[in-house]
Amino acid sequence: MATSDSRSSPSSSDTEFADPNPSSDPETNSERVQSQLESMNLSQPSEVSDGSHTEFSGGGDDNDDEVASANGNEGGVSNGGLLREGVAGTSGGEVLLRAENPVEMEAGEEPPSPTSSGYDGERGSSGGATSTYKADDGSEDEIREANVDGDTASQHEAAWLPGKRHVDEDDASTSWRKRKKHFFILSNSGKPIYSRYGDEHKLAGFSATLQAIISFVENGGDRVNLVKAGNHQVVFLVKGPIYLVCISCTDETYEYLRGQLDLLYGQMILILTKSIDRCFEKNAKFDMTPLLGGTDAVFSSLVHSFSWNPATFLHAYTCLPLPYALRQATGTILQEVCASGVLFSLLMCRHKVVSLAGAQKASLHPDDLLLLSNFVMSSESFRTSESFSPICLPRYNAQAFLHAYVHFFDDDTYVILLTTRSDAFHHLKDCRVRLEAVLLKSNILSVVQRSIAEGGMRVEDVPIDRRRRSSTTNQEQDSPGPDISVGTGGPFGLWHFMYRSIYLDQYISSEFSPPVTSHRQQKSLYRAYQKLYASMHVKGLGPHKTQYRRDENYTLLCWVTPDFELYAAFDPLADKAMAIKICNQVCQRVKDVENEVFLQGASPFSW
Amino acid sequence: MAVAPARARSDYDYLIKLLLIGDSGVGKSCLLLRFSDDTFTTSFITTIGIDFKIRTVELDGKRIKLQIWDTAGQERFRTITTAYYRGAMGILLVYDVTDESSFNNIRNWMKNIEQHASDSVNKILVGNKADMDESKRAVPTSKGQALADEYGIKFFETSAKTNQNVEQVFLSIAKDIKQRLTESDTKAEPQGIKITKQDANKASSSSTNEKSACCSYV
Repeated sequence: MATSDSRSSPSSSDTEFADPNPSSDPETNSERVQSQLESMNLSQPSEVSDGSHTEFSGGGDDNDDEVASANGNEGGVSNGGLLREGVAGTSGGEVLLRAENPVEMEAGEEPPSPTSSGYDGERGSSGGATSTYKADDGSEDEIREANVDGDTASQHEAAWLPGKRHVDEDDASTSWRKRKKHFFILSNSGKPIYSRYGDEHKLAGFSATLQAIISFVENGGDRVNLVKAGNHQVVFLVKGPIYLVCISCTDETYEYLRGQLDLLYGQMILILTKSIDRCFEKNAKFDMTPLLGGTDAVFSSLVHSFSWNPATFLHAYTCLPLPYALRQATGTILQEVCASGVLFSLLMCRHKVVSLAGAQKASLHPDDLLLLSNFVMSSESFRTSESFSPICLPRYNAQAFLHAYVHFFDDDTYVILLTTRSDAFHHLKDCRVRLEAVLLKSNILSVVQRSIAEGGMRVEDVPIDRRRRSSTTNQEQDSPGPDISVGTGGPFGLWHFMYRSIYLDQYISSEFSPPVTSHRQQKSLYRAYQKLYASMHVKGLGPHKTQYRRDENYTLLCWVTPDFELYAAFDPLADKAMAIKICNQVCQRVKDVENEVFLQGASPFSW
Repeated sequence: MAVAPARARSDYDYLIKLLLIGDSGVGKSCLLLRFSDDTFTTSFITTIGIDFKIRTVELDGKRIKLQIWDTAGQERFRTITTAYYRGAMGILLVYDVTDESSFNNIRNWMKNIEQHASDSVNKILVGNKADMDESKRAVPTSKGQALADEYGIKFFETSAKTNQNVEQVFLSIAKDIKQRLTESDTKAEPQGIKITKQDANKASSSSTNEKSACCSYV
């Protein structure tokens, strides 16, 4: 069992929960507990009371139960024994839990379906097993947020609206309860710090309930990781005095939801450093929200990127395609900048890397790069003038601030220079001036603009030549196969692919083209990839090499080797043998253009 | 954005460093944007750390290069923003006439100046968002003037939105600073002396920052 690294007694932080079995005024206590439990959307009392549960703390099986059954044995509670004991001990618990069912039905987006969904054979099977899952239906909020018919990444990136929305909602609002995915950050004393929807201050009671659940389990020497309630997953992450919670019915894997909480925490550390923990050590009731003033847009942008940016689950970064010579020239000047006392220098275009360099032995983790570019891109202030700001790279050193000089050369292209010296503004400004002179002389900025407009690799670029020699042996001989234009998109029904270089920590993702054009379709595909990714990286099992899945939406093929990972989506009617052949051609194509789509020499071993 | 002119002596006669401080949301960045780029945005821009802009103006036949630091009003940036007080020759204290708490906090900002800035720094009080409807006004003009009189500094009400008094504020403090520099400019090789002084200020700034860093989030 997981050991708790943070112990907090409820009696020291919230007298309401000092006694899990209050003997005085049971009716009042029951009402309070009922109100709070309703807010949690927890239901299926028989599931809790009859002790049926499945351990999910180790992750792995991401079989989501979409059926909301009042008396079923489906779903489960992580470390449910302790949680069950706590809940059952409450006076009138049975009645209270039963009363929740109407709320659950009201909150559900879809009526319960008699059929259940499963993913048989998803654990690394290379056979022809089939599985079924539904594409996510966007909620009303998500429809408003999304550019439904957007056909390029930049369009649905632009669909994100800055700042916080729906501040009028709270846990009593019907619309708040209908949100498909909630994120909360709170302290171990139950104070709300951040909520994706609703005003944090109005959610103080709800935050206290979440804190009580976590602390109660920790008091028993354990830790709560995941609670499944109908089609909702409640994911908990404890980081010292900071608690993060995600409540989601989006059919995403537990691993990815927990990874999202990790990134939210990392974003908070980027803004504040881990030294924030000391504030809570000195004062358990410390109110952290003033320190996060003006950052709603940063967190909102990060949460939005979970639906469009594969870097959030691949933990790799992507480069803007660029001629090799130009990237080398840029890298050289960035390296010279680092030789002058700068720790990291980056030239970015939106969320893609043009080039980057690190000082001797300094290595930039892809997650830090993701959080840093999210921070810069979501902060309008950086665009209007030269800026100098303290930031922290959580994976580099979570305890200390670095200082970032940021300057935009045009609407999309910007430089970030990172240093440990707080008095280095003028030096960094001089570095930028020198860099800018080189960029203008080499015409790099206009090439970058053209590249961002044209986009990256497309499935249509994959050659159709059947006689092309593949990089791996193909036992099956070429023969007149199915019609070459299955559906639309690339050859033999290839709709999309992602290629991740393990050595370089970089990936490329093909541009979307028909039939995967809408934001909803793209989000759905990324979620399908997340499931592939999770099942191929199950700890304790594998490593697995290949996986093939077919369902009503896609044929998915995943290939993992020590050098790279390939994820490809095909028309659901695509021929398996041809799909494998096309994947080989995709890999060959990537190899052909690797000098343009990858940043070489930026690996941790570069000197 | 336009490339800043190269730093060369022949470009200007005086270099004046200004600092904008005040609560978050009072309109410091909008004032600077109006003055330097003559633009205004209704979207709420939250300054991150320190923003830097340059504009050169002419005063009494002299070319004055204004180097203007815009500071983030949020609490978490106090350590880095106060490091720039020492190098400032003039400081604009900005409040929002529709937000009484931002006006009340001017006293706190003034204490910050006394603690971190040089003794001779010029100061000016600015009440922004003066274009707002009278029903929204929370700080009468007379109260702003009274506070400025109490501190013995000049007072302007401005609107970055309607471009009311923006130019006047910056030119007014620049003129006062130039006059102060001219009056102290009685020795030979005055520029050499200033360079030395600035270097000393920078070192002090570094020391101040190092001390302040230990007190983060107190």
